[in-house]
Amino acid sequence: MSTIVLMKAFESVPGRYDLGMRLITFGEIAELRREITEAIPLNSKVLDIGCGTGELLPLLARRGARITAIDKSPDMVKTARERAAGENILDSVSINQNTAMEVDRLFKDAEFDAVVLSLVMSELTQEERSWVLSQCARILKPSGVLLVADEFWPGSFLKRAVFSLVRFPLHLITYLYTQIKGLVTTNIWWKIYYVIVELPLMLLSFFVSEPLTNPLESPETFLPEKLTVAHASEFWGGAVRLLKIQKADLG
Amino acid sequence: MKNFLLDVLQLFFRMIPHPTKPRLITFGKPTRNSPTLVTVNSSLTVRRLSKALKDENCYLLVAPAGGINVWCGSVGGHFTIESIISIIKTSGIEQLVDHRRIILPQLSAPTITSKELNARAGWSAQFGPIRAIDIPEYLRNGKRVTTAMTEIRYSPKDRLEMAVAMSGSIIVRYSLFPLMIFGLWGVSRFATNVLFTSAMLHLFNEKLPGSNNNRKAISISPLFFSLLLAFSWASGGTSIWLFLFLTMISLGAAVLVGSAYSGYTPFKQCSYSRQFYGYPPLEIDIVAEDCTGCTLCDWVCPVDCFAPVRQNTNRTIFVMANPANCVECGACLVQCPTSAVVNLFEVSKEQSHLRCA
Repeated sequence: MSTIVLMKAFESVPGRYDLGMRLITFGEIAELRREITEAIPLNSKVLDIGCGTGELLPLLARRGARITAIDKSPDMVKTARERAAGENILDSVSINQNTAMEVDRLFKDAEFDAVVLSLVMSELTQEERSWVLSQCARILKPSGVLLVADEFWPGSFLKRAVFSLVRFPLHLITYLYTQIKGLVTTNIWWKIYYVIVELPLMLLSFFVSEPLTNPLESPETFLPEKLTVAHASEFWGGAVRLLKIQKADLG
Repeated sequence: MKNFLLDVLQLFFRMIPHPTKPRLITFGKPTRNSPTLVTVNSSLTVRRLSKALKDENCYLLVAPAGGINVWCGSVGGHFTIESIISIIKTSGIEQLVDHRRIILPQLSAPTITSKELNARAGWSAQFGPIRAIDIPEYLRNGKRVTTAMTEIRYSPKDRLEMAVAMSGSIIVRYSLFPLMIFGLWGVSRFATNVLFTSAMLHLFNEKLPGSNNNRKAISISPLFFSLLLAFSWASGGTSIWLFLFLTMISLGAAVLVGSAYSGYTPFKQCSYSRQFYGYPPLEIDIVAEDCTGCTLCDWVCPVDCFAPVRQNTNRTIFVMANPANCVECGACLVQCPTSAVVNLFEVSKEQSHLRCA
């Protein structure tokens, strides 16, 4: 099921994000998080890029990890900090508002045992993706792990077609929602007027704009030399894959 | 030819984004010290800049900003520090030049500050001219802007351009109504009426009779209305119904054009942002005690709001001299290094809230 694009609609409201993600993944998001957590060695130093509401943080902290988490949205950072405070894990977690494109200045070479990129890559452009991955290769210790969980295009042509067909209306709905969610007017007639009048322009904009999220192609097409896929697993009908990527132990 | 067609198409559909690939463009033979300019990934903007820069030796970074123009993009939160950081990292410009300075379009001042860019990416920024045409002169002047470069001009050519852009958006938004009532006949009359009325209103706004834009639009619509009516009566025989239908269409077009007008000039924020999205009004003032006279607010203001005043202590400060000019872009508020520029609207709202408590 290619429902993951709907997450862009929930992103604007951190309070609803967790529930929304559980709904659109049919509860499998918990399974995904569990598998990410288990792939990370005990007592390691972890970087979570795009931590969102920080649901992964307590799971990692329980395994003795010292975590640095970043997210580009100030609202998400606030929510994640509140969660960390509520779970009493502030000692082992530091959360900052930064984008994935700033990791070159933030972190030293070989600083982390593990890096997590959960539902982040699909929001980046091709160039940004390869830049972020080359940076991940730099900040990982030799034989460190990189975990990429994201939406991937299916391999076969037929599956790809079905995937696009299901994804298209969801993408459109999400786009329209993100366009009108900021409406503040309370007058119902103004709201109806707005939607009728703006719909033609919104539809035009939808067709010419960059998509909200772009599923990834197969990992061989974007991984830098030092990184290789050690293990891959699929979630909610193959729409999301979790890649466990190993950094070569070359020193 | 292809570019000309694109120009026409994008002129009419100015209200939707026109994204192009974020990238690095090289002009002439730049050296390791050549200027590096930044702009948004709107293809119209990039084409115009490329035309203006064709004889220069420089780099142009096209930042990802949703394909929206610089001013709307920066006020609306599409052209941000993150856009610039992304293109600096992915373009490889750090390997091409020795300096760490970029030149930004002045109208990006409502969101982007050199201070934040420096802290987050190690690059400093300075604001160049508003218009692409001025960039060659700006570069020859040793990267110094003149007063004319920092203020908005609204030439007859710009006016005509905005008239077509506005007509495009009105026709796309509202054609459904004449289509449902009168069919295609109605849409063609509606569209030509909108084009004519907005062209007249934009070109001759100051000279038209009427106290507001709606009245001005209605006052010119009889001109085109009589043309349409003469054409209809000449081809289809005289009929009172044709007269009534055309009156409805012309009046509708005139009201839509008149009420949309001010938002399509560079002198007012679009009414939509306030009506539907509740953008707070800005009422800018400068706190005299905090002002250091650094001139930054005067520099980034596109409409000449501020003026220097010499204090008796031999200190020059800036004051809000022409509040009527303000377009509420918020550039001065964001750029002021000492937070001397304040928004009075917020202050008074807080105070009234306190009084309630």
